[in-house]
Amino acid sequence: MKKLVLLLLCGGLLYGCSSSTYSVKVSDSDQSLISGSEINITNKDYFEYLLQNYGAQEIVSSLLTSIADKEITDQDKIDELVQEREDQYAEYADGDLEQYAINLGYESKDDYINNALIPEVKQELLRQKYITENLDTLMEDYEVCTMKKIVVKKESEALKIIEASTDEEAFDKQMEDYGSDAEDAGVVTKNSSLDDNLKDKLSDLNQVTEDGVYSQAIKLSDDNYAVIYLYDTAHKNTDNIISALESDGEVQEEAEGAYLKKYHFAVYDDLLESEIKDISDNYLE
Amino acid sequence: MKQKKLIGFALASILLLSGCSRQTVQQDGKDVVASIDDVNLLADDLYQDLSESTQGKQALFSYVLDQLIRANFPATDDMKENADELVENIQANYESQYGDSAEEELQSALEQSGMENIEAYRDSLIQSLQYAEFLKTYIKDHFDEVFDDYYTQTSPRMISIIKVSMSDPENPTDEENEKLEEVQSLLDTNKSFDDIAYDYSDDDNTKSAKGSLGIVDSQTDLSSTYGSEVQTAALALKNGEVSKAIQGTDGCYFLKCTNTDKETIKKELENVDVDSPLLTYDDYMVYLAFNTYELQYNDDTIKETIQNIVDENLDIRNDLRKENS
Repeated sequence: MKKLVLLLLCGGLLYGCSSSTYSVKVSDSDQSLISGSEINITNKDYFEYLLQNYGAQEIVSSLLTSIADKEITDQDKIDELVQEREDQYAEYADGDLEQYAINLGYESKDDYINNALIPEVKQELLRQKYITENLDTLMEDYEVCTMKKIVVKKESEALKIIEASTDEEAFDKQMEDYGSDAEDAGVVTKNSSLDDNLKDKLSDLNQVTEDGVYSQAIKLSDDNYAVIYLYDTAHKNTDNIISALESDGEVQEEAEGAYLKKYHFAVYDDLLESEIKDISDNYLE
Repeated sequence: MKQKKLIGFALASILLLSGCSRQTVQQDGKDVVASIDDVNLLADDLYQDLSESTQGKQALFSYVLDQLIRANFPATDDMKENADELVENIQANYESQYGDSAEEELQSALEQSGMENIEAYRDSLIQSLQYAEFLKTYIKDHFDEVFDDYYTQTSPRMISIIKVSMSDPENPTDEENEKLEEVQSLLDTNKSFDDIAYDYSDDDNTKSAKGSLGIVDSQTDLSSTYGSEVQTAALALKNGEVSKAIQGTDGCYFLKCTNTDKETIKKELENVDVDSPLLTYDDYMVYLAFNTYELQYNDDTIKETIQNIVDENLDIRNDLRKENS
């Protein structure tokens, strides 16, 4: 009997704090939208289907746009970026943004601009604001480095390159000699597409304060060796750094999470709350 | 008495704990889904935004279609058994291929295909069978019309094949060359293609059927098994014509087009089963089938959205047929 009691208690705990259905309802929830041929689809059915497929993302996006409306007040900046994106996307349809919008399923260019492009731009500027205001911390946390690299097969070869790379010009000359085995990787973060071993070294590379070739050859996971030349170690080229951080998915989530928490984001449905937490742990307290 | 108290306590706990499920928050009598400072997102507004969005409109058709199929073609025991059999076959294949790591490999393959686990895959198989039933019903009810379109669009024909295996088709061995020459010589005699296939073909898939590949149409994939040259030749042959030796995957092939007659092929496809090419040749058949169901719409926007999606796709179908004619 004690076991039964324990089971009942456990059942109670589970029942009380989890949910597999949505609790929020729309008005006229039970009103039928479509019936006949053995089906009856109500507002509730269609709403829950939409919630299941797009609800969590739409809630976050909608409220981030509301936050952006409060945080991003420079209308000229918004207009400028909207125009930039309009020009960019129009190129995908031979300069015809109307056609581009229709291809995406929007009714018109204006429909696309108002419902997709402007919210997208506002959210982009919101993330940019967070990055600009927290640049030093983010550069540290995301191990930002600006680098060029040459990849060679042997450690001895790598060490010879290091020895010969007395300055940037000398390294650039070596890069030319190594052709496709050399690249200017630009600004990278700990989430960039890099070899795992090189990624592990970023925390050390990030601490270097003077431009120049890194003193060690880095053994890569495919047994090749990378020679790294670090530049802009003073982080003067902030535009490039901000742009790299903007492209980092983890930074995006951190920025969005910071604003959502600042504005006390709350969700009043257990299942939606859990689905939003699945998108990112950063969004809710 | 003590036990009764314990049970009473447990039941009371259930009632109390269920209270930790969130209370609905409302504004002016309408449910609030989420909020930030000074902004409430109402369920009604979220519903409107989602249902008016491009993705929401497209999702509507998928949802109604899904409901229609579930209601009219519910999963049967046969479908469940078929799905179980397919799952068992896949598991057995993985076990023979990967041994101890089979479960892990299978799970990884499922996740790459967007499936959570093997149960989700089984469910998707059952749904595919329900979908096939939906199309089969349409095809059976409109067989002449569907077959005419199929025949016009895909040029079906009956094809037979003989394979002479070669370990390196670019550099055949003397023995392989000898067999190829013998088959070539026999094709010039009055021994039938079928009998030569039965006696000489190295193709395990068709040998016992005297080389018959059955109906081959423009959507049949022969390339992955036999090579692209075989695929091209199969569709180019005229009725009764035999191909020259074609270098393909793992050997050389001879093909014969044994029939292109419309009535013969129609008779062959009369029994519409789950493997029928009629089920898969037309990506837009789903919209034709959808239109055969009588639905009452109680919302003009919903009606317009669905009709637009169906009409747009049927227009594309018509344009494709005009291009092909």
